[in-house]
Amino acid sequence: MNASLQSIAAVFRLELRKTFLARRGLWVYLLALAPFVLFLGYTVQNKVEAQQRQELAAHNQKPLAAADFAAIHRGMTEAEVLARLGPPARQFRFGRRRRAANDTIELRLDARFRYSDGSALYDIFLEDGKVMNVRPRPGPTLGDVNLLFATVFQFFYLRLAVFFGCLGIFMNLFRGELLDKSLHFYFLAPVRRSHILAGKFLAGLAAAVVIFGGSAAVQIWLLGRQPGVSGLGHMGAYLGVTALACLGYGAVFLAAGLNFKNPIVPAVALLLWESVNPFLPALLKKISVIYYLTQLCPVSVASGPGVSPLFALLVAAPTAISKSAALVGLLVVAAVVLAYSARRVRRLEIDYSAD
Amino acid sequence: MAVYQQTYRPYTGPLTPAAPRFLILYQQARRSLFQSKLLLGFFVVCFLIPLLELVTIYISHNPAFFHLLGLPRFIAINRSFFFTYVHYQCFMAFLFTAFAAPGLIAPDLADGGLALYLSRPFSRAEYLAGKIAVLWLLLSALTWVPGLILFGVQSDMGGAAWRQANGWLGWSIVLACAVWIVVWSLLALAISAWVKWRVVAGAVLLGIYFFGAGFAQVINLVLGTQYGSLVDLMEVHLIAWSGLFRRPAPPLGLYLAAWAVLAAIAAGSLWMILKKVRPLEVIK
Repeated sequence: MNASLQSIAAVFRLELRKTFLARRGLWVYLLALAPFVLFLGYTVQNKVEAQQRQELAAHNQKPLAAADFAAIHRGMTEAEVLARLGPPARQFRFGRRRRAANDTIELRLDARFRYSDGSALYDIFLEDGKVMNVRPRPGPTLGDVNLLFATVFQFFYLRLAVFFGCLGIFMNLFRGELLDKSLHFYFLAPVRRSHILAGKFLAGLAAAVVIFGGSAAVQIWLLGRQPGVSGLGHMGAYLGVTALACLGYGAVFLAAGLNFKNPIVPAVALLLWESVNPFLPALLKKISVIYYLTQLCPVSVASGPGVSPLFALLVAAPTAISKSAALVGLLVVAAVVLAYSARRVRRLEIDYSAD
Repeated sequence: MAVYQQTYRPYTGPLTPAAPRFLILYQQARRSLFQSKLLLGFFVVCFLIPLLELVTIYISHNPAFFHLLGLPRFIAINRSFFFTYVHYQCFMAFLFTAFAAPGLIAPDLADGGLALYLSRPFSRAEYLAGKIAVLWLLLSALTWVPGLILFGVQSDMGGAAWRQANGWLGWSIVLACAVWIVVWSLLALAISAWVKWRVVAGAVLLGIYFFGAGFAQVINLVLGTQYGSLVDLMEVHLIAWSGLFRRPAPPLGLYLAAWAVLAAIAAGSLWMILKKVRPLEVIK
């Protein structure tokens, strides 16, 4: 191994331990854990509902099929529902608040009847004794789970969990040393600064990929174990996208940590820019990390959860580019930012008093 | 005078009154905040929304404008208008808080400056009052003060009928903003006191806001519930404000839970601040 690689490897070893075990970075594990906990809740919910479907079906006075529930329509009275379906296996009566025309709050007694035909739960919502809505709740299919994971992955995991995780990990590489007043130890060692940067970046990247890639793998494994779903595909693609997200955001936050006294300013700007990416025209979309990442995702999702229909209309369809072009685009963006950081670190002057 | 006679003699000059003493801290903290040109610039930018709203109110009362454009009068100045104003202006005020608040307590704790403050005739409460007054006054200037000006302008232009129907909105604006200011300023100071590093404290605040918002959406999506919104602090405020602005009522459980979350955050933050801001430090 030549001297350059040896020095990079030495910095890498030092930094890897610091990055994984830093007290300041423990919250990164919580970020990675959050979707796993959510999917664990989803798994428990699905198991409970699968059990309920069988139990409630046994309570029916007569055998019920999907056609019986299709015949229930808005406006039917409670008596008509009971005559057609029999008494519900479970019923909930609860008060619902509604603001009346004269600005007072009215309390209205509503009801929810729950039936099951063995393959799906049916919730029938009644207001003032009349049917308002019939909501079937079948068990999730592979397609449902695929879409659910894709939505959470693209609109939460990449844009928020990996984003803030990389912010914590990569900003800490140089800015953390400045806060701890320890960067001069590195700079006094007989190692080229660009090698320090390379070693630090690789350590941060390794930690981010292990933490967030590991979390994504566990999430996919967990979702593949839902009742009626036999394994979720595309694990390799999702792990690859996660690794590329760490690379792209990592490069950007490393540069931000080197260039800004308060790297939160560019972080907020980047967060807002990435958030409005779906609404941007085609040319501007390309000046972002998330654009290339979504192009590489195996399942495309039109708009995120909670987006109002008005905003959903404003989502501009991305100009599809090939996966190889997206990959090259992201690598080029990361390489350019890293080259700039290497140039910047060579001229970096330490001023601990500024922090 | 002989040396042995030069003993301690206490200060016998005039003392500043004790009550407004915390204002000294307020003045110093405010001055140091606005030393950052970026923050000062952002503070000014935050007034763009009230300015736009003011123009909107003016236009909505100007039939000639709509006539000129050949458009129907589509702008209604009502509770939704002021609710939207408070929502967006509080978002801008949050960004201001995320940059301003971490610099208030964190440097004192990180550099061991707290003992210097508390060795002077300042109590802990006065120290905190001085620091929090900066946030409360600046955030008030960003949120409910322009809100009341907008309300006043609309009350004047809308006439007696509008005033009679919507007079309560003034209180709603003040109360909604006051709740928001108390909760966020306490939370920001608590994070600032515990994290100690300004930059990291700012990142944590942003994370709580944006990550919480995203996580709330996916909880609601994955688990098919509305209660996931309780981890989104802005959404929690919006739910709580629905009563103040007489908007469509959310489920009672969610509404009460939203107020409980706000109270818990404020109380928890205050406890965290009092736990950390002490005239002693244990160094391990």
